[in-house]
Amino acid sequence: MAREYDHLFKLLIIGDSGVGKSSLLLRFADNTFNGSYITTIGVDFKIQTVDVDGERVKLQIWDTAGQERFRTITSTYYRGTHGVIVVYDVTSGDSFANVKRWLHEIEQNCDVVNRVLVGNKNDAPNEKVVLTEDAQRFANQMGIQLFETSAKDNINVQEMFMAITRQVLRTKKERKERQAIQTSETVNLRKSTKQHKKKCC
Amino acid sequence: MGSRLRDNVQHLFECFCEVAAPLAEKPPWILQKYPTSFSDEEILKSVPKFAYPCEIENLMVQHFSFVLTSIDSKWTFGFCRHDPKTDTALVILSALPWHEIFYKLLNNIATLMSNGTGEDLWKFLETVYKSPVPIPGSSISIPVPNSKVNFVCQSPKQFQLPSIPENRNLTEYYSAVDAHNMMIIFASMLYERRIIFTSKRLSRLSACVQACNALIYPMIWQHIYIPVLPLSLIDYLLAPMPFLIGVPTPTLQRVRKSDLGEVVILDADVNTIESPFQDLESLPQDVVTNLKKALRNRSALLGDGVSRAFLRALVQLTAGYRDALTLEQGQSITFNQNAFVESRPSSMQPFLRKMLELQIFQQFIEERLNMLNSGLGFSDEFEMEACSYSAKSGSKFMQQYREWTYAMRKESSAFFRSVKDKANPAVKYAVKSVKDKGKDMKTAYKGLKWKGRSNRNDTSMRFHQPRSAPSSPTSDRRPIDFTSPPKSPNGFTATTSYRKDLRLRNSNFTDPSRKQYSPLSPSSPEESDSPPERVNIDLMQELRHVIFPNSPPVDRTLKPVRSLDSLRPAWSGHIRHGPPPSTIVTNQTVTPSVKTTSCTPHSTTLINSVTQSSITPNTNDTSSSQISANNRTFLFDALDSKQLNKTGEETDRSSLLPVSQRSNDNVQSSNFLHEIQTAEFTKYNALSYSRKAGVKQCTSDIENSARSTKFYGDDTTFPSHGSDLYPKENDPFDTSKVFMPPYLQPPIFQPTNASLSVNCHVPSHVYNSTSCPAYSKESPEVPDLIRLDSTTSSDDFDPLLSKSSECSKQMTQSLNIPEMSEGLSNPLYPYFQPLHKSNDKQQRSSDSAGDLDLLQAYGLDFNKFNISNGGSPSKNSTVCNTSESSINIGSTFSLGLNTPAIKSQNNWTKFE
Repeated sequence: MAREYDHLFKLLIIGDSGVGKSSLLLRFADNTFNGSYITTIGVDFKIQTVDVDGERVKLQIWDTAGQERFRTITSTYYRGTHGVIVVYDVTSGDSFANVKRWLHEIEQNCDVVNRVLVGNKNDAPNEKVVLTEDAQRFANQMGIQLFETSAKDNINVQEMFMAITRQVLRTKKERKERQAIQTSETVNLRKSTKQHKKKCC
Repeated sequence: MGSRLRDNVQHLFECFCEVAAPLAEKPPWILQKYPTSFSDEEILKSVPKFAYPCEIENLMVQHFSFVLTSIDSKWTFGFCRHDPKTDTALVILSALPWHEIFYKLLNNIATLMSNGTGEDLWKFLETVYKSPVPIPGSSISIPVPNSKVNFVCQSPKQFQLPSIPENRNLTEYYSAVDAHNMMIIFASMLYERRIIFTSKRLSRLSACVQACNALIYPMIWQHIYIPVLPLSLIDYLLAPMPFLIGVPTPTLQRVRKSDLGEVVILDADVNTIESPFQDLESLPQDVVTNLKKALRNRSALLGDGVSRAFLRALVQLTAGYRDALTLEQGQSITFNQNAFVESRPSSMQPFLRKMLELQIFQQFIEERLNMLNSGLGFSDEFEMEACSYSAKSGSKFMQQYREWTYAMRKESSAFFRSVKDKANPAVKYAVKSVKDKGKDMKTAYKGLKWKGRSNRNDTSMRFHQPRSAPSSPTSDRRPIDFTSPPKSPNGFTATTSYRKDLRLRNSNFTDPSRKQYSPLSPSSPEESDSPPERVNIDLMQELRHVIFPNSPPVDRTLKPVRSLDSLRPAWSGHIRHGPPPSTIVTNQTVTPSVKTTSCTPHSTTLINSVTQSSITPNTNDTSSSQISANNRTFLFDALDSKQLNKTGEETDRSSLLPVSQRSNDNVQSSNFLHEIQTAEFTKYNALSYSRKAGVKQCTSDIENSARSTKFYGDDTTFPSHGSDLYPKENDPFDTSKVFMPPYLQPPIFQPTNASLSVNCHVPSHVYNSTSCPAYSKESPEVPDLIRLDSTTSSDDFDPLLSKSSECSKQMTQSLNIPEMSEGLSNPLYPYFQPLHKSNDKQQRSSDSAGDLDLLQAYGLDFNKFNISNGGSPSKNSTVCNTSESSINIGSTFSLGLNTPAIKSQNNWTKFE
């Protein structure tokens, strides 16, 4: 049975409740009429298949309820994921503080390489609390990309999702290449020895 | 915070729904609901799906539960009943995880629907809905229309491990899954895997999921938690995050295994596990060994044996967190991860490093830190076990503690002074009475007095400061006060500190027995490694130290007592604060029965435990003895308001004196001292309490004691009362009957009761269930004493059952420290605390099973006890009981003294 995608990536979206994670997901999702279960089973996910450089990538983006109760989000939470979308609310300093803490934690303890920082609700300049410069400085420090989005006005949302998708894809390919190199090296070695033998013979 | 149970539960249930079964293409839908105003659309949309999560073979009445998780990650429990006679499902939504109770309620509703009128049903639902949520350990009873039965809702005790067979979930889990597989699941949960349970039967499915979550107490599963997954949500099995999901077998069969990824699957029908991991193997092996050993002993697994076995495993893994708490001056207490790992045996360290990365562990630490830093004392089954564990594993950082203690002492002196002033009159009074009666003891008494005073000062200062309300009007005679202070400042339990202290002291004296206490875990040698400059403090120990700064070796005996005493004030304070008037009454009543002398705090505890124990009958067919015990308990409730109040209040202070004197004589001089101290403390508490709350309830201990005296006379009447008042045991709707094979009542309570009855006067017997808890509380002290002095063998981590229970009891007292409320959510579920009653926490787990055993294990024989005390059997026994049950310390002390009493006395004299 032919798969309808070339890659399947599972991403996490983390951030305080109220920063607009669900709205971002809705903006992103294939079918927006499919109800959300985050309020009934504490977890929700959306699926979107995107095309990246000719490859079909199926994205599952997962969200869980009540993350703000975690001072740190530990590595077990990220264990099965390919990438993390870290969302704060540009109108809430607290949400940014949480995000910083979590990202530090990821940096120290997790293997998750693919991360983007998202400042959502970037549609009311008057209420903006987290300055772009601050966020950008932090993002640079962490070595990750920053997107300021507005799910409400659909600003920068697609770009952000595409960015993380590319990132994940790139990581996957790099890893593959590395593996390929390793295996090919071993193969080459064998081959060369064989050849040597042959030559010798 | 880690808890996923709601704090402010207003109603027993949030909504009742009748859900029609799916028809052909039509999905299930809600036929009717109560209250009709319930309008959470998301939930209402979900209920039918969860009530009919898959195609159901409706062959027999079946109960199961599902869980909804709200946006704040809190759980709402859906209790569901399927009946082959109808094509609807009954569903109750509640924030309370009280499975047994709501299954019963569903049965009541079902009968009403089949027999009664719609009006009856609505009226009944309304009554239940509007009933206040009972405080832990208490119960409400609501008559079911058109029948003779009542719906009895007994709020679980706060600190109680799930036990078999009372806890249906655990019982189901235990019968479906063998010990080895339970261990694998346990390990997988500790690794926060993606875990699927599957079964063809929804009841088994949900029960197993719920039960295994309870077995990681004091941890709480922080991830996706769906005990029964509806077919329509099947895609959620693809979640990359950790989860614990119950999937009906037909649903799971639709899932491609390859899509699931790395997942642990337990089939509860055939008891098999598929796991790509080696989680059990990668747990520290000594932990696994101990766990295996504990689970192999099947006879000990009735009651909370299973729960306790797993709890001990977790204690062994995590109890060291206390040693990794650091306090920078002027800052809040923090948890030093490296110190935590390094303080433990090297064999454990790899796992512990991983454990730091567990969300459940992080939340656990968070929660404890929050409580500590907010000045709340806390205690629960875990801390109790941890206490006993740490007691074994040796003392650390003595030096630092000492310094700390010193600093603390300084600060607290002012506070102490004030306390002393208040307490003085009471003390004097007590002394007088003692003097009159205890001529023989005079010498000893003097020495004790001196000691007690000095000790008291230190302790009291300490305690009272942090404690918001050290109000205990009561009769704690014991130096208890001392202990409690340490707790409050740091939030640590006094018990722990006390234990450590003991150890330390032992080391000071070349005590031959000391070797016996060598830490089970290899960690002890490593402990010394911690750099001295680090302010890594074992708070408990420090506190302990402060309390008993320069106690001579002899002190050992006394210390336990003190520690217990310290706990007491907390209790008493508790009592005053929270409970609604009725509750208070109950407490008072109970008290008298249990203790002759003023043991108010204790008695309260006892009562609670009693009440709690009464829950058992609801669950299922209990042996007759159990039932009777329950009846008695109920009696208490009934009596408290009716008889006890009348009789007890009449008595005056004068009556108190004789009682106390009597007990003193029997017990020994040491008791005198304690009593005096206690009295002092009590007085102080009472004052403060009355000041603060102005509650009338804070009757003095004296009054209580008087009542108790009276009570004894009345005791015979109780049984009959109980039976009359609470016919609930006959409840035909007991769900357990329907589904579960009738279990024999676990013999837990009985042994205790029996022994008590033999030794004790009638009243104690009457309260047997009550008395058991009391014993257990007290017992901790006793064993300690014994252990220090004479115990020869220590099974390494696996403390004797008795030991553990004792410890737990000790801790229990500490539990009641005012205000520890929400933070300590007990994942076990029994732990729920209605808002308005937050203060009334003194719930004692009634795992009395081991108490007697424990005592005996420690060489305490009640029979001997009586004999040694001598005197006329009836009177003496009564006294003994009273003292024992009444307050830990006093009784403990007496027990300890029985045999070694003389010895200790001598020691004291020498010192003096």
